[in-house]
Amino acid sequence: MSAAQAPIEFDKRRMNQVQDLLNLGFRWMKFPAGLEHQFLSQDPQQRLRHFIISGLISLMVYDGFLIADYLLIPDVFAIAATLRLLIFTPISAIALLLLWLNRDRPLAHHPVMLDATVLVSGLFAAATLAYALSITRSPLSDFYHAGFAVVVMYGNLVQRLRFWSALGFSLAVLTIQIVGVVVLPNFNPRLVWPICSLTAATVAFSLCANYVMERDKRRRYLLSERERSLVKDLSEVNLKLQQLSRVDVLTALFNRRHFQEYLQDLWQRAKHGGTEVVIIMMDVDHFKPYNDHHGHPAGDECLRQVASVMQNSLRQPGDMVARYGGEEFIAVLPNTSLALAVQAAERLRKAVQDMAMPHETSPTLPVVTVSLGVACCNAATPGATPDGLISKADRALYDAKHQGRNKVCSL
Amino acid sequence: MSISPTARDFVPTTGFGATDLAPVDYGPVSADSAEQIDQLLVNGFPTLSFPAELEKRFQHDTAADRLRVIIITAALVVILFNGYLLTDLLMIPDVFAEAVALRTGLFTPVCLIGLYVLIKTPHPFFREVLVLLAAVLATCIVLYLPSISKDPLAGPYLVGLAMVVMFSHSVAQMRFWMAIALDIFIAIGTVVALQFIPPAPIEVMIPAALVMISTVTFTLFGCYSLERDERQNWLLRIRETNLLAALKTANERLDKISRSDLLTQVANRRHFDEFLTQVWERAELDGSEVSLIMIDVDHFKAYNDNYGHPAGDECLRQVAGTLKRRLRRPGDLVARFGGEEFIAVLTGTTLPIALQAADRIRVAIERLRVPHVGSPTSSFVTVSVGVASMRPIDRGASQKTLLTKADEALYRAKNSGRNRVWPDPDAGGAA
Repeated sequence: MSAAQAPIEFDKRRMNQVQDLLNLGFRWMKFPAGLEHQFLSQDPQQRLRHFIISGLISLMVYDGFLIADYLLIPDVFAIAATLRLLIFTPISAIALLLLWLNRDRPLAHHPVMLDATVLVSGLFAAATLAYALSITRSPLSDFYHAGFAVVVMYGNLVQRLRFWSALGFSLAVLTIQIVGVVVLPNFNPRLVWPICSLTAATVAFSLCANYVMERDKRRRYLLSERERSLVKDLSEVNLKLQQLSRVDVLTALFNRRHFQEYLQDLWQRAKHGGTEVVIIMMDVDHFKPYNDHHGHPAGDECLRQVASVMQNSLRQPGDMVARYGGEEFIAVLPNTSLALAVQAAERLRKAVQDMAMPHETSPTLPVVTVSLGVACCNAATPGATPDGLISKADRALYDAKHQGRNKVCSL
Repeated sequence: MSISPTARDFVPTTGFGATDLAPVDYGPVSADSAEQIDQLLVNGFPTLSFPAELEKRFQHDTAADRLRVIIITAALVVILFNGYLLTDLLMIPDVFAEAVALRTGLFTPVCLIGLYVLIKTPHPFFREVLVLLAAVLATCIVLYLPSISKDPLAGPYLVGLAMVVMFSHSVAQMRFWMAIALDIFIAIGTVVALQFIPPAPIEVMIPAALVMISTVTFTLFGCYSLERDERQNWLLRIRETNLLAALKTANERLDKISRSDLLTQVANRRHFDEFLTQVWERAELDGSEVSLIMIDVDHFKAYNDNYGHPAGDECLRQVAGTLKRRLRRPGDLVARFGGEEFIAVLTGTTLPIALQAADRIRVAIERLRVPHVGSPTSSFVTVSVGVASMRPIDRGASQKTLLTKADEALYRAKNSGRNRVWPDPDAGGAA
């Protein structure tokens, strides 16, 4: 009992957590530990794929800077090209390849692993740029510093680093740039502020957008979690409603619950009047193989057909037919003798067989057939109960099955 | 996308199931919209627009948040745009006076007036157009200043446009299509401005152009993601509202069903017991009286035998319906007590009043004129009624005794010829 209860309790706690996070927000861009872990580990394959694709694009953008190298710092172009093409590019390409080859291992798409890779490579890219700028003597090199802004934008908006990584990354790049501008001799003083402010603004603006993006992404996650639990609740309630309602949705017969209520009522009256009550139980022969062979939709159709035959053949006043379980049906007939009821059951058996509904896997006959059990008792008999009568009918049905099916037995 | 069941799975199914359990109904949006929402969430919406009805609702739902973002960013933009004067002073000092005039004298008041208009007349499209116009005005100023400057840094100064692009696309969260319009305007404006700007070395202008192009591309991507996420989250919220409404309806129905008798649609025995206990406890506190009316259909077995069970069921339904119509004060409850027996609780009611109510019920049933040939009492269906009242604070009072007394009264009513109302024999002759 408690073992079965535990997951429900856990679900409830988790849902409350989700609810609070949605209502009160998550200012520090972080969920409580368990939820954070689940959030980070959703869709790992998709995340890795996104990482590798955007990694390749980043690499192209990075090497595209060779144009700027060539135009703005021609004197150190050879060094810049070496750094870009012979060191950074091969290392990154190998790293991406390794990740792809190990894509089935959990470590390969571990969020910390991916973030660390982005951070290290981003900072390394910024460092190569800083190095090239520190050794050039080109008078145009000052303008090149604006390139840092592009690096920041890329990391924060396109790669969509997670906010805290994005913050660290942006501040590191900004520091590298400001230090470079301040330390470098001969930096045009008229450009110090415009270029530093450009990068600083880029950092601020793109972090702002990055924050909103991650917040929305986290909200989306919470919303889908909450939705999942709502859908579950709703399915449960709908199921309960269906059970409580009087009608079986598949066969349009009354359901078991309603049958039992009706039987109780009828039994009381029969007890007063000292009359007989008959129960007929009916089971479709070899229904499981039918379902397996013809498919569930065909199985459902078969049940509907059998149900309507039963409904149509038992229509004396007071008779009631219901679906009792999977392929089991039940009927109660008041004011009837056993002999008449057996005749009715026999007509019913024959009517089902005469439908000639093909049933290829049945060892009994190549068509759908039913077995029936009939039981009768006087409600006024001491000790007689509706449940006792039902189990008697059930035993009769059992006999019918054991005598080869497609039969009527009575007790 | 996950393959969990969708809101559509709960759209009512028509067919036989719709007997006394009408299927779960949709709350906030129509089933059509619900289906659209599912499709949008599964297939996406690459053009960032919804079908008209949903779009209208999206704009309406997000208007307040959007206005807040715009007010905050407008305040920021006024500060930042004036702060940029420092860069003007350093890069194009020869036109600093014009810069002050345009940034502080023109842009700032125009921005504030625009904001005022926006708050007064909030209309989604108008709102986004105003944001676009503000960005266009800023662009014009940033293009005009280097065009009239003679400084060699006037060319590189154009990179300052990147700030306008970044700010409007990411901080102000400009709508994607407006952002595209702005970027086209900037591209054309830059080409025009370059005709007037002092020539700068091509080695500088090409990288500057690259910076501009990557800024536009990256921030447009960001802008697109932001709007898509916002729209996606809104869809999820709406779907959730629908689910919640469906769940609420289903729960209410479940509650109602578990409390009512399926045949007659009045309360069932279990609910009656609960209700009586509640009423009893309240009456214990305020010292008021509780009355019970017990109703039995006369010669019901004969009716059933004569007309069959379906007719018998119908007869019970009619009787129950009459009871419900006659007893509809908030403190009254009618329940099916057993086969052909009904019971009613009347809170805060004395025996004489309850007897009057009981007789009105008896008369109302008789006046239904439901034929009953097997009845020795009348040619129509009639009822016998027993009434008992009790003050829970009185000594010896209990729910059980009250029930027994009502039952006894009913027994007397039956024994003295049926189709009559009988009071609790111990209450001292109010017959």
